[in-house]
Amino acid sequence: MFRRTFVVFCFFFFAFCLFTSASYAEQKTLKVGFIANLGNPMGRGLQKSLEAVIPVLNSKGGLQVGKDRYQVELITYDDKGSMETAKSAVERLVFKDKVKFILGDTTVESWLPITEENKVVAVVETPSPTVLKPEHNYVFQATSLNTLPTVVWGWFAKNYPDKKTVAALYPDALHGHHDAEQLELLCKSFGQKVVNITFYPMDTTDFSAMATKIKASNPQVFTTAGGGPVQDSLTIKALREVGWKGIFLNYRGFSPGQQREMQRLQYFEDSIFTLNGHEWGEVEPLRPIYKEFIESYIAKHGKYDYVGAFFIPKWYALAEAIRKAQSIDPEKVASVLASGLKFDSPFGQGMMVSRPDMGNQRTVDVVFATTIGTIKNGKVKVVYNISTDEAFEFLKKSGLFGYK
Amino acid sequence: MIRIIAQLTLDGLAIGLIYALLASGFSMIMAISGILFIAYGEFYMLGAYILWGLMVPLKLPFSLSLCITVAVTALLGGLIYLAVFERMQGRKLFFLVSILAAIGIAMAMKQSALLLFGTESRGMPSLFNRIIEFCGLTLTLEKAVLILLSVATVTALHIFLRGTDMGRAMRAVSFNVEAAQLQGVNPKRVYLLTAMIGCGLAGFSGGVMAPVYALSPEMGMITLMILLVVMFAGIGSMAGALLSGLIVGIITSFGQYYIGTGVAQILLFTTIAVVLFFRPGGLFAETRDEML
Repeated sequence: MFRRTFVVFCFFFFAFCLFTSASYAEQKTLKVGFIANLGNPMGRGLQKSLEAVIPVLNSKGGLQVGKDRYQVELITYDDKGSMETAKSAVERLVFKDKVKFILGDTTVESWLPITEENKVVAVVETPSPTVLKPEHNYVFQATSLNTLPTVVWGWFAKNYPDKKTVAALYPDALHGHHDAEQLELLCKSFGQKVVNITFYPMDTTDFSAMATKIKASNPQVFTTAGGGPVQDSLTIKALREVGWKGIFLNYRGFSPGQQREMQRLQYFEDSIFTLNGHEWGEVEPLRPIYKEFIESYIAKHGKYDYVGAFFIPKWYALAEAIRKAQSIDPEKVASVLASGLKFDSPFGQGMMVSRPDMGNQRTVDVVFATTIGTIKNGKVKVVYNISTDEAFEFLKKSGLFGYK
Repeated sequence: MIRIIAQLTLDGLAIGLIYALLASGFSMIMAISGILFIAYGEFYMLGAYILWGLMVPLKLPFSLSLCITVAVTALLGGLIYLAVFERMQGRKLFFLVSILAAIGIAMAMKQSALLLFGTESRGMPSLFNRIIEFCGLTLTLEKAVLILLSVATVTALHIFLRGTDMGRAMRAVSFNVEAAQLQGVNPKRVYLLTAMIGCGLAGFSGGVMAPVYALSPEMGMITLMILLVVMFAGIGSMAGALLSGLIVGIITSFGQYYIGTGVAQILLFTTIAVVLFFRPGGLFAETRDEML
């Protein structure tokens, strides 16, 4: 009796070991590197977004790659916004952690040679044109930084043809001057005239005198970017307080929910802005992918802080490229990204586009479907949904991207 | 043109009064206690955040929030004085040692704010939703309230210092502490009260500014501007601090309009340097002894 019990026990024990070892053998892991300035709200917001969505993906079995499923392991390093620190982080990712895919940021120029030489696919956010050059095969820009302003200005110029004079306020920093140059080009492309551009130190909070100056130049349209939501709200507040009554056009992204915490929304009445990634709490119904993202974020972190959706398309582009490639071979994934990949993300539907102006026929940049919103009687209204194809038409029409 | 000049003057008045208030408190601490209180700007920052915390999450009314803000910053100022400065008051190298202590306090307060509130700026919804228009000029009701409160506070401070026994005692200590002691003045009590009033003024300034502009842990950097205003005015001159604050605010406003913020600051510093060259003790320095 005892011997029989022992034999039965051994049988089930070995069967159990075989079953679990077989399951373990099928459990595959895909390591993805992530570097960002985690001391910066945008970097921290992206980290929180990835920490929310990747576990949900893993809980559903992981990333589908052909017949296999991979659990995604995110390896995070804080680059502190420093080129040197970022380069060290990427060296660790590539040589120690052996990743083949990296989600990167504006520090990419410092570590691009490492990823190119080691054939590591890097999906980044940067306005720098360096990464878009044809000699780079494994780096892709997958956020709206480069193309969104053109899409929004193109739409605005088409739908508000009588609004010709533009004034702007930008931070007196590298990105502020870059935005100013971009604005000059956009206005020239779409037939508008810049009547005033003023720069302010980043720590400015009193915009009264600048608002008086802008009002004196009598613009029909005012825009600002790069100072952050607080500066944006203070500038428009100052303008309204001096009696300026034109249209505030925000082409980088406007969060009504965030602004409502800082400012009365009436200052933004009749403004035109992109709502991408900020629809939560403002418009219904939400796109399923965006709704899922918000729910995951809130489940993980308790509340949504409005910045999470802006740079998350990098992950969604990479994930979709791996799915379509049906492989984790970086060559195949890069090839999919470079061939006009279309993907969906909480920020909006994206389509990889080429950059002929950089001599690159591979699709290394991205254009997004864009939701245009306004404020009417303190409430957000959707004015128009620009599709990816329409958005691409605005890129072509601008003449800034080299499309014929 | 006249309308623009008038508007710029009005815009400069609001920020100028805040500089004036802060300069008055800073100057008072310096003249009476002999402390170059580098951490003064952090009390301004603290006042803004306390008001934000009372009004936004707790939804208390503005008047109550401001009173609590002033009380908390004044109390904290008094506690810091008792814990840090009282024991070294009157000792050798007090001035230098107090500067080091104040720097340490400033760093601790700023880092605490960064830990608690993060690095990003934050704003507050406007208190009053009205714009006053007169003679082609515009002024928000918010700024009008800020101006009125600031003027009232400066007036109250002036009456306190000139018209009350304690005010006279504080002025006596600033002139000669031994002579004041012989007249029955308790200098320790005077120093403590000076710290409390000064820090309360800083907290008040931050509190009235918070709904008008933005909050950030970097707000404490205003200490540099206050130092300039005080040097411009002359240490110990309350009227000078008021006028200098207004002058600085208006120069900044005109500078932002005509030449840009960065160049405006250069213009401001140059103006102050020229004034100090001819009057090293400050524009409104009262006695030869106060001139360096």
